[in-house]
Amino acid sequence: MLSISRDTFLKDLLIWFLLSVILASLFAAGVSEVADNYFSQAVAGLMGEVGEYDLLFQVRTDLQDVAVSQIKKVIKEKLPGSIVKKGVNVAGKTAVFVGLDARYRTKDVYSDLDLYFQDITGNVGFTIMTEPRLTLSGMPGRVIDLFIREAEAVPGVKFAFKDGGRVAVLLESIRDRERVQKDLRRIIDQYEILEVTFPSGFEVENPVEAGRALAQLLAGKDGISYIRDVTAGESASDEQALLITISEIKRFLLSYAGQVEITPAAGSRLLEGDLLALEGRESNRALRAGGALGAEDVIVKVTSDQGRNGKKQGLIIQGDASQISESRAFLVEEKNKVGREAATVVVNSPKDKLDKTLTDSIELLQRLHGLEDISVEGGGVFTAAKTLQAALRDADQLLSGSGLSGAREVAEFSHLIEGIGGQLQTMADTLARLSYFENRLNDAIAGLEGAQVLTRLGLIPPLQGDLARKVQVLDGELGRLAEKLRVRARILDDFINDFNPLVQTLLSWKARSMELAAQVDTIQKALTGQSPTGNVLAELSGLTAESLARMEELDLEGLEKEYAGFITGLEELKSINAAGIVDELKTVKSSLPKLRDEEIGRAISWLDNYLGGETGSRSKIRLFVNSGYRREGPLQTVRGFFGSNQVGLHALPAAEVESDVRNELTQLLQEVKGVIAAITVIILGVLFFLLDQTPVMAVFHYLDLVAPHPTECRREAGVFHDIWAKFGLRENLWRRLLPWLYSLVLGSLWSWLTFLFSGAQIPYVNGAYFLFAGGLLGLFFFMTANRFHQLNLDEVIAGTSLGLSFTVIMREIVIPAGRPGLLQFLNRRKMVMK
Amino acid sequence: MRTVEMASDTGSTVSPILKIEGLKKSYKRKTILRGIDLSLLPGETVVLMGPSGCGKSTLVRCINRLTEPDEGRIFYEGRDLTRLPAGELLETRKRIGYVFQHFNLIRRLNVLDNVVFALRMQGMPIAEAEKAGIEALADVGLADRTRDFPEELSGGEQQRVGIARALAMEPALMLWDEPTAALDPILVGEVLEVMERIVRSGKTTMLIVTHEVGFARRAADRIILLAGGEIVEEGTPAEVFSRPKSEIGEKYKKLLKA
Repeated sequence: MLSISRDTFLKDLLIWFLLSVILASLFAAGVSEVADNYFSQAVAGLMGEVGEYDLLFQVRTDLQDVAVSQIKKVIKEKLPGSIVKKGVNVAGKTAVFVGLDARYRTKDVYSDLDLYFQDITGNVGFTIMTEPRLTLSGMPGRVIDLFIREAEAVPGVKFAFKDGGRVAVLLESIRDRERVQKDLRRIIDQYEILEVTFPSGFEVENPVEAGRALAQLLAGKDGISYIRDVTAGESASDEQALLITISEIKRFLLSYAGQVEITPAAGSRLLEGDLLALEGRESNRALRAGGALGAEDVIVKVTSDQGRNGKKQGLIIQGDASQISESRAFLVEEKNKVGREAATVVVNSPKDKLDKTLTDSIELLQRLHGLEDISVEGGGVFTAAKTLQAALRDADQLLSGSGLSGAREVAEFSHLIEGIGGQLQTMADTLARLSYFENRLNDAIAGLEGAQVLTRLGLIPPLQGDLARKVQVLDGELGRLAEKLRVRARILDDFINDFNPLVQTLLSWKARSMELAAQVDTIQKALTGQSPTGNVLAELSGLTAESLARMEELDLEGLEKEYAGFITGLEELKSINAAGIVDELKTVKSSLPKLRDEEIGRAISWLDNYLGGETGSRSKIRLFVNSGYRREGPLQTVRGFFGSNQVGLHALPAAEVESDVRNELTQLLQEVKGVIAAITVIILGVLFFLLDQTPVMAVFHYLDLVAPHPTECRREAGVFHDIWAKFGLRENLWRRLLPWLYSLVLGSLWSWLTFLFSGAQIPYVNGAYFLFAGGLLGLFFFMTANRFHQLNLDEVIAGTSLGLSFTVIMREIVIPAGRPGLLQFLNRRKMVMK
Repeated sequence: MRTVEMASDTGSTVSPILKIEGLKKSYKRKTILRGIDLSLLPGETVVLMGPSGCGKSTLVRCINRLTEPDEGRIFYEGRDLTRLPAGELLETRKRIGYVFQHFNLIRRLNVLDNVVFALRMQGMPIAEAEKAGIEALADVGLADRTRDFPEELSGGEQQRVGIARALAMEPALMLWDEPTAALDPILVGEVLEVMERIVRSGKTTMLIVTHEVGFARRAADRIILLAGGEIVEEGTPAEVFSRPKSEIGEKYKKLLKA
C-alpha cells in the first residue's frame, strides 16, 4: 500500500486503470448512444414519431399510387382531418401510414376500420399502430369480449377493441404503461385455460359438445365459479386463426355438401380415394359393369374409412345428390369404365340445414323489434336471485341463532327450503329460456356467417346489373350484423355462465338441506324434546353459510348494469336495416338449390389442398376457468367424464400481455445498444491491453531481473512474505504467481467495471461472465506479451546494471519504447529523459 | 555485517573490494559455476579468460546480481551482495560499472543522454550531469559525437559510449563482459586502446572478461583461467602465459607465441 501512495510505477498503473476504465466506458457508452440515436431515428423514419400514426398499410408497390389515392378518398369521406404518408418500399411492398384525427381515435372507429378500408386496391393488409398501447394475445376467441370489458375497467385505459384474434388496449398516457400492464397481468392471472388432452388413439366424437357438457359438469365444483367452453373459436395466432377459419369453411361446406354413406357390397373392399359411379336421373342408359361412364352419372369419392359397421363416407364430386336415381354404386375403373357393383349408398343432403339456418336468421331479424321479452326474462333472474339471497340469509340466521331446537323451527326451515326451491326452479327455467335464446342467436350468427361465406366464395349465382356492389354491401352488412350479434350472444353467455354455477351450488344445497332437515325431523319425532344431533346441524349450518357466501360473492349490481348494457345493445340492433338484409338473405336462400354438390366438392378439394392435411385443434377440449380452484378436483371429474385415467388436464395461461411494436423495437434497440457497447468495450479492451499492458506484462516475464529478490533476502522483501508464509507457501511461488495474478485480476476488473459503467450487455450473459472473460483476456495477453511487444531486454539489463529502480526502468526505458497509448501518454509527465 | 580482509603484497592488511566465496550457478540441469572463490584488491585489474561456455560471463553477471547465484557469497566493499535488500542493491550497483558485449545502449537517447542517463536518474542537475558526461566521452574520444544516436555510430564507437556511460558513474569496480567480442577486428583496437588507457589511469578496480590475450598480458595485474565452471589457474600474466600449469594455460601460451 505504501508503494502505491509513493510516486511509483504501481501508482501509474492504478491511475491508468482508473482512467482507462472511465475513458473506455464513456467511449463505449457514447458509441452505443450514437448507434441508438441512429436506429431510433431510423425507426421514427419508418414508423413516425410516437403517436404520430395509427395505421400502417402494406400496399403493392406497383399499385401504391392507386392505393394511396383510395386511402385518401376514404379518409376524406369517413375520417376527414386524418393524414396519409407514404413510407419505404420493401420487397415489393410500400408502407403507407395513416394518422387519424384525434376525434376518430374512438372504439367505434377502430371497430369499423376493416369496413372502411376493405376495398383498397393492392392493399395487402393493415396494422393498427396507435400508441401508447398494450395488446392481450393468446386468449381463446370466445373470451375476447370478457377481456375487453375487464381491460376497459382498468384506470388509465382509454378503450379496448378486438384486433384480429387479440385485444388492443389503448392507454390514456404512456406513463400509465407499467401500471396498466401490471393490472392487465392481474386480470389475466384471474383466469386459466384448462386443456384436456387425450392419449393416442382416444377419439372424442364431438369435442365441442363434450366441452360444453364438461363445462356444465365442472361449474360450481372445486372452486370453479366461472367456466366457459372455448373448444371452438380459438384464435391463438393469425396463422392458426386462418387455419381454423378455413377448417370452419370446410366444415361448413362439408355439412352443406351432398354426403354419402357407403355400405360396401359383400366381398367388396373399398379404399379411401376410390370412385363410385351412381346412375344419374337424366342419364339415358343404365349403368352396367364394363360400360362407359356418362356425363349425367353421379360420381362419389370415398373420403373416409371411419364409418360404422364397415360403412364408409363419400363426397359427390360429379353431379348432384338430387340426380341420383338409385342406390347401387359401381366402382369406376381406368379410362372412365364402369367396374363391378361395389356398394349401396344412402345420400344425406344437408343443404336443407343451411336453408333452415338462413330461415332462422331471417326470422330472428324480423323479430328484432320483439325482443322486449328478453329484458323481462333477464329481470326475472335478478328478482329470483335477490329473493334467494334473502331466503338464504333467513335460513342462515335461523341455523346460527336458536338452531332447529323445536318442531316449529324445523317446519319453518322446511318452508324456507321449499320457497328457495321454487325460486331456484324459476331461475333455472329463466336461464334455460335465455340459453335457448342464446342458441337462437348463435344459430342466426351461423346462418349469417354461412351466407357471408357464400358471398365471399362467389357461390351465389350471378345476378344482373349491380350484382358486384350488392354482394359487397351484403357481405359488409352480414359481417357487421354477425359481429354485433356475436357480442350480444357472448354477453348473454357470460350472464348465463355467471349464474349457472350458482344455480348448481344452490341446487346441491337444497337437495342436501332437505335430506338433512328430514333427518332432523326424524330424530325429533323419535326423541321428543331433545335437540337433533350436533353434527347434522353443523353440516346444515356450514352448507347454508357456504351457499350464502357464494351468493354474496355474486356482484348482482354489476351484473344488472352489464345486463342493462346488453338490453341497450339489443335496442341498438333495431336501428339496423334489417329489412334490407332480410331481402338479401332471401336472395341467398333462393339461390341455394342452384349450388351443385360437385361445385361444393371441388371447393372442398381446393381447401384440402391448402390445409394439406392440417386440422384445427379438434382433438383438444379447452375450458376457460377462474384461477384459484382446487387443482386435483377437475382432473378427477374430467377423467370420470371420459372414463379414462389417461386423459390429461393442463392449466395454461389465459392470455399474454404484449407491448406495442415500437416498445418491442425500443427494447430490441436497447439490447442492440447494449451489445454495441459490449463490442466496443471488447475492442477497447483489446486495444488498451495491446498498447499499454503488453510492455508491462512483457517485463513481468523478467521480474527477477528488474526486481531482484534472492532467497537470502526474502525477509526484507516485503509485507507479503509473512502473509504468504501463513498459508505455507514459499516466497518464490508467490513471485511466480504474481504476474499471472496481476494479469488475471487486471483483466477481470477492467472488463467487469467497463461493462458495468458503459451500460454494455449481452443477452443471457451476466456480469460474472465478464469477470471470467476479462480474466482470460488478461492471461492471454500475459502469455503472448512478447509477441505483441518486442521488449528490448538489453536496454532493461543496462538500466538494471546502472542501479535504476523498477519504476525508473518502466518509465524511462520500457514504456517509451512501447506503442503510443494511454499509458505512454500518461508516462510522458513522469519521464525525466524526454 | 561480515567484512573480509586479506594481506597485500606489501604485507599490510588490505580489504579486498570484491571477494567471492563458493559461488555456484546452474541453469536447469547444467552446472555453470562450480564454487568459485575469488578476490579483487582495490585498483587491481584482473582478466578472466577461458573457453566459451566456461562460465566467465555468468560469473560477472552474478557479481552485480544481473543473474541470481544459487549458492555462495559475494562481498563488495565488505558487504554481502546476496543478502542486500532491493533498495541497497540498487545503490550498490551504481558503484559498479558494467560494460556489455553488445553495448546495451538505449536507442531512443542520444550519446550524451545515454552517458548521463544514470546520473540524471540519481537527481544530478542537468548541467552537472552533462559536464560529467562530456568528460567521460572525452576520455573515450567521443566528445564530438554527443548529439548522435546509437544507430549513427559504429560498433566500436557504441562500445566506447557504453564505456563512457560506466565511467561517468565513477565506479569503484568495473566489470567488462567481453567488450570486444561483438566487434569486427578493425574496431577492436580502438576499444582496447581506450580500455588500456583506463587501466593505466588506475582510477578503478577492473574485472575484465576477454579473449584478447595480448591485451591481457599488457594490462592485467592478474590472470584467472576458468574452465568447466572452475578456476584452473591464477597468476600474473608472466606466470600464466610463460609457465602455464593448466591445459588451457598452455593453449593461451601457444596463442600468444603465434
